[in-house]
Amino acid sequence: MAVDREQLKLELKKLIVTECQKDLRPELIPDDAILFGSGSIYALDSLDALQIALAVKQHYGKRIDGGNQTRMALSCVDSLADFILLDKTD
Amino acid sequence: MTMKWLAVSHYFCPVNENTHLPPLDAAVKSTCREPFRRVDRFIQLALLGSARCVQDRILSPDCGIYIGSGLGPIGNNIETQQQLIRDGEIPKPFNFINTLGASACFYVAKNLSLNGQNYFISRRRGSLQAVLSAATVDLSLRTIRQALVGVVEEVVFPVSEHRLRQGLRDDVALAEGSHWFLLQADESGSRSMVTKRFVEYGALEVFLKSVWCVGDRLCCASMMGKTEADNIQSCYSVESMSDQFSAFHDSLEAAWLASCMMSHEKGKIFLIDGDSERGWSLFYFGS
Amino acid sequence: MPGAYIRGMSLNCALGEDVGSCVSAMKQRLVQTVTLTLNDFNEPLRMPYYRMNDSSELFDPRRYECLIPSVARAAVIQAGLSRDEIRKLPLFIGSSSFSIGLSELSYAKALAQHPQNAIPMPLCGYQDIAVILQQGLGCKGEIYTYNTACTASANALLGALNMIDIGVYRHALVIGVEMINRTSLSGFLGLQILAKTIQPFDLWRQGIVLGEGIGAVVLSADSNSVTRMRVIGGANNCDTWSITTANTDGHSTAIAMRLALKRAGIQPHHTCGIKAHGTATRAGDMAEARGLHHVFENLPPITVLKPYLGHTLGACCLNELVLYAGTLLSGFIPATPGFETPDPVLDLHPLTVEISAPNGHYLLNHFGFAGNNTVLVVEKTA
Repeated sequence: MAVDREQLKLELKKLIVTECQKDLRPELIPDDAILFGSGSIYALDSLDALQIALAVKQHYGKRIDGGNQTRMALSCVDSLADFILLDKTD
Repeated sequence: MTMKWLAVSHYFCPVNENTHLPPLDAAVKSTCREPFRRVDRFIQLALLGSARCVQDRILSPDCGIYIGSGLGPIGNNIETQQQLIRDGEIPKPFNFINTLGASACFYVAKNLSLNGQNYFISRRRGSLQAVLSAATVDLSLRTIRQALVGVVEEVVFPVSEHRLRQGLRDDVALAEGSHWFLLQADESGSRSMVTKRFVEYGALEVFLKSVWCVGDRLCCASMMGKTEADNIQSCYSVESMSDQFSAFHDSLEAAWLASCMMSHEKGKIFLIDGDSERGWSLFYFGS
Repeated sequence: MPGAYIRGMSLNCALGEDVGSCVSAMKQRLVQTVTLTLNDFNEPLRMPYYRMNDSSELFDPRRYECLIPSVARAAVIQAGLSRDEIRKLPLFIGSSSFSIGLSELSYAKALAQHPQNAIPMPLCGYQDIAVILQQGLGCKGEIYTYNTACTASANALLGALNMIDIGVYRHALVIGVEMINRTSLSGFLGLQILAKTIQPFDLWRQGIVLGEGIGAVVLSADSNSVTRMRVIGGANNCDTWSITTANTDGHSTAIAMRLALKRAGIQPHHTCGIKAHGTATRAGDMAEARGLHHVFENLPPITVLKPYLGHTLGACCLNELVLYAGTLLSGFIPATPGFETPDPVLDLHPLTVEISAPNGHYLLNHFGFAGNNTVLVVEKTA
């Protein structure tokens, strides 16, 4: 089944906002905005990363752990969508 | 042990099957010094009560935080247990961390910029006495100069399940509460707060007689020995918590004390607890 | 003299059922874990675990009533309290999970039988352990239950110490309890800090391995003939840097250590040994190591006990206090299995072989979630 990438990105933005209890409208997060760290306007931290990782696992079956490669998936919405779609488009 | 009370706050909200729990988000947002994410209702109740008690007061940097609760963060524990037992999922990190009573202490400390000692203590039907005892001992030992003592009880819907959980009859009305007291290690002036311990009931009786004045208010804790509570009742005009509060939570002593302190202008307020095994505690607050 | 005597103590953990057998298992490095498989999750959970060595099935609810009072009873018997003293004995309990394991079992059973009527959190946990203890021991004194994450039983001990110091009580039973439960196992899995083995302060450390255990101490204003340990003082503070770990710059852990030493009236260089918290997480060990370097110019011998009994969460302080005291009284400061490769960033080298334990003061560190840091100072006397 083809996965609509734009639809997925919007879903992910909603997931991030809900899981991290951020007071903002999901659609206002740019696809390439850095989500984590003090340099990010969203300033998500390692605990948010764990919360998102678990939600991604439950919704999309993809595991994000402490390894560098999977952790990179959490850089921005674009990278997270890439990570989720990686096997599905094979 | 004599000290001083500086401030008090009292939040008490009866709820029943036909009402909704009032949302606290806006009140927390407007009362707290910084916005918080990842906080559940129990933490919100703690944040609200503590902030209303402290207001704009500058606290001693070593001010200790003592939160007491009979049931603790029960709503979040319910959610977490459903995630893992009913749904077979790993609990979400925010839920898991907030299953701890101490998480509420963390957010209260963060909101008030406190880094001193920090305890969450529970005793069913007696959490106020447990935290007051712990805090007054630390104040007397001068390990701290101030103590922010709070008692928080949360209600979770459905109310019928919440009654069953606590072994209550199905006609008992329930309430949420957040009751806070700011105490200071200082024996001078008005607003004194005294904690006394007695091994024998007779000694408590003698002491009470020596300090009691007409117009003072007195209450016996719910777990106090019955014979002695009856005895006190025959000698003094004892107030009944159940008469004053039409709804129940596990720490009604805290609700009674805080509401008395908020409204009482003259005279002393006494709370008595104990039995022959536990020993006797008397807390009294001057105006 | 400030402080209180440890008049009786006992322990049940993965090492053994009493202090003697735990110390002897430690000397022989008989460290063992079991591999848990939890099939009732959507995806089975597998992890190593340090379980107590009783013959019951691990999730058998009867273990609470069977194991908890028996540990407490052993401490009370050693303390030699009178019947009246036992009846009035106040309880100071520290735990992360209390009886949540019982609550989970009860909810799961109700879901299987009558899913429509099943109530989550059917038992409200804090008081259950106290009731089990009171019924098992016949004590009816005041109850204080501490729920401050991994410092819970250290805070319970501090609470009891202060009350004894000021004369509220002459004796107190302090107990740390952590029994296996699905909330802790799966919750820590979600935090991604569970490891295969515990390697405290090691370059390759990856996190914690959970365990269960019950440790009890009768703290008393009076000594008896067997007493050779005193709790001298302690300190607690709150670090609001992060809810899961103390500030990794070591600032707040150092404050707690300094304050504990100050209240005990001793200088850092008079410390004979340190029982470190050593969770073996990247951040936790960093916060502790840096704190230790801030306080101690020359570090005394350091031991981490979690490789022997696992991380027993809220009970870890009491379990590790009893185990540490047991080894000190047996004449040695234990080594830390699992530590092999020093981490140059931490520059901390726990003992790899045991050494003899002189009389004197020892420091015990505990750091937990919710920013809670608690440090204790004990003294081994002649």
